[in-house]
Amino acid sequence: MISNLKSCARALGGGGLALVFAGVALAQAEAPAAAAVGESVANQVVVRDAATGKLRAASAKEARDLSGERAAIPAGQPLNTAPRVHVSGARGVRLSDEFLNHAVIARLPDGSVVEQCFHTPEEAAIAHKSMSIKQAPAALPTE
Amino acid sequence: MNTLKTTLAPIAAAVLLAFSGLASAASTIVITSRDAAGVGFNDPTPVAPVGGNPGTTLGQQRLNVYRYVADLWQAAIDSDVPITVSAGWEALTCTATSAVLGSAGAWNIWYDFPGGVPGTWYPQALANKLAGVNLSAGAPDDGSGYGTVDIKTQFNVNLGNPNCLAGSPFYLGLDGNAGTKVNFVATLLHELGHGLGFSVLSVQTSTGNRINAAGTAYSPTGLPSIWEGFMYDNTAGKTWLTMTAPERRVSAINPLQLAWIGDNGVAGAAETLGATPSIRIVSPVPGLNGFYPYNTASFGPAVSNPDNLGTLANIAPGNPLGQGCTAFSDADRMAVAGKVAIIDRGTCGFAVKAKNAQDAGAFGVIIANNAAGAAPGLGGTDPTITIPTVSVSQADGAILKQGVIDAAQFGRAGRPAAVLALISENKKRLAGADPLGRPLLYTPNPLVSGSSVSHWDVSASPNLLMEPNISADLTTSLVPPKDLTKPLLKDLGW
Repeated sequence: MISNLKSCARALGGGGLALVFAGVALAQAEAPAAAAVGESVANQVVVRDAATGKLRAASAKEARDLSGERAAIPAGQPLNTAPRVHVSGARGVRLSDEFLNHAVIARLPDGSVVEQCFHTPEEAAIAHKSMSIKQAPAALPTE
Repeated sequence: MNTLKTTLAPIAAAVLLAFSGLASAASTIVITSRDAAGVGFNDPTPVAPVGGNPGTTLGQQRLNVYRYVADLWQAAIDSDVPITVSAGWEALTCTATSAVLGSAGAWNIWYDFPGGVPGTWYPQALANKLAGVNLSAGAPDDGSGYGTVDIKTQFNVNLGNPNCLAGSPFYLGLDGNAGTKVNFVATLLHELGHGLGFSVLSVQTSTGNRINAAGTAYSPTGLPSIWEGFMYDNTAGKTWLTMTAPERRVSAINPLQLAWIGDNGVAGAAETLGATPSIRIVSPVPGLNGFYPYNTASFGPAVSNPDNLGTLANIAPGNPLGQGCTAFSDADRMAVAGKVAIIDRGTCGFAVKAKNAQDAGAFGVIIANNAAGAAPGLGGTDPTITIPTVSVSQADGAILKQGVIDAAQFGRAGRPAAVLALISENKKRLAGADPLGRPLLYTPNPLVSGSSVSHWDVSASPNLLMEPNISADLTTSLVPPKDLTKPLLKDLGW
């Protein structure tokens, strides 16, 4: 239902314009079970195809790129870490920002603010983009 | 008052705060700034002292809060090895209505050090304490100037500015009276907790993989975190230590089933957590009587404990427009008049269902969840709703609906026995713990990959520092009967 859509536009690197619509479920393969019970609704992301010039549903990767979400680091992919060895035989590693916990805050429609901490930057990025912070009284599901 | 020894240095990586001067401190936390001149801790903007923070510049107040929070942690934990924190204020992601406040965590991790569980990753601060030495001492820096520290933190330097949650900057007072601002004491206390060890750390919860022994990649066969032996999944019947990576991934999104089984955490829960708000059922139906946890609604009158909610009633299933989403049929009106209607969640708003039930003469509504998990909080608004509404889990909803049906067998002809619902609390079930009293970790079934398992579950009551939601009613206590942070850390070896 187009009349219910809120939209914003942002640049899509290398792919032309992208229109990001909130309010309609998309990418069912990635849609959570929670969406079925109405706790939240996934963003629908539409991009203008660089080849045809027509709007089309974004691929999972395009949607993820636009949302700010980063895919989980695959097993075996090198991490941004630095190994250490101690004379005792202990082994260590210096981590990186990808391993830090992130605190995110959002102002809700009633003017209050809600603060939540996430285990990964991926979660924090999505929460920041969607303001889908759970358990805040004004952010409760309504259906 | 603590004596602050402060040296303001306008260059990155300069040591700002060396020690607090607390004679009774059980550990020492050294905070080092990465901020450039005029930025963050070095911001010369004049400000008025606030909430016990005597600083007269923005930078000075910021570092006063850091010192205050570090002193709290120093007093709470023991270590002969100084704990090092690299701190900075940076331009993090912002919009007018949301912002990344900051991030923090262990910056180095170790295994196979003296005093630790072999083959197990620990955060460096704890590894140093157990080993009795600074394991990174003498290690070459990685060029950052802070590569060997225990904990790295950064917070949003623009918070409160236009286009960065405008009007809601960090509250830099020490008294907790943050109002509509962001309480930096609570935020920093929480984030430093993660850095000291309140984190599953080396496990990628979205896959269950662990950091390998070389520290170079995630792997299904990587080394466990010290957390994992304390993380017991009641569904799987085992800890994360003995799970496969796919099992850990599933456990991380298994709501209300992942318990912390460390002795200190469990003992602390018994001293800290309150009883679980529950609906108590009284009926002649065998096996039905008992306590059913409920959640509340943002509309209608609040329920109070104790109270008589009323006699339960079912309505007809199968409404193609959603159960309770339209005006009740005559049969449903007869069923719920003067009673409490049990209505399945779905299709339309909770408030719509409640209003339709009210219009049909119901005295109350119980929304039965339509998906696995805990009873949901019920959002929505409708000022015309005058009857109470609560929710129960899908499983409990099914039991209650069947109980109403079964009650027909126990009444007189044409007058089935009543299933009475009372607002109560289950004193045998701690709020935020499993049936054995073990505090629960946060395992929501999320909308995105990953989960927030490195926190207590949000069902804990009272609110705890290390829940994912940083609540306005938190104190700075880290120990029972106010909080469970220290008991968990003690289980790890602190």
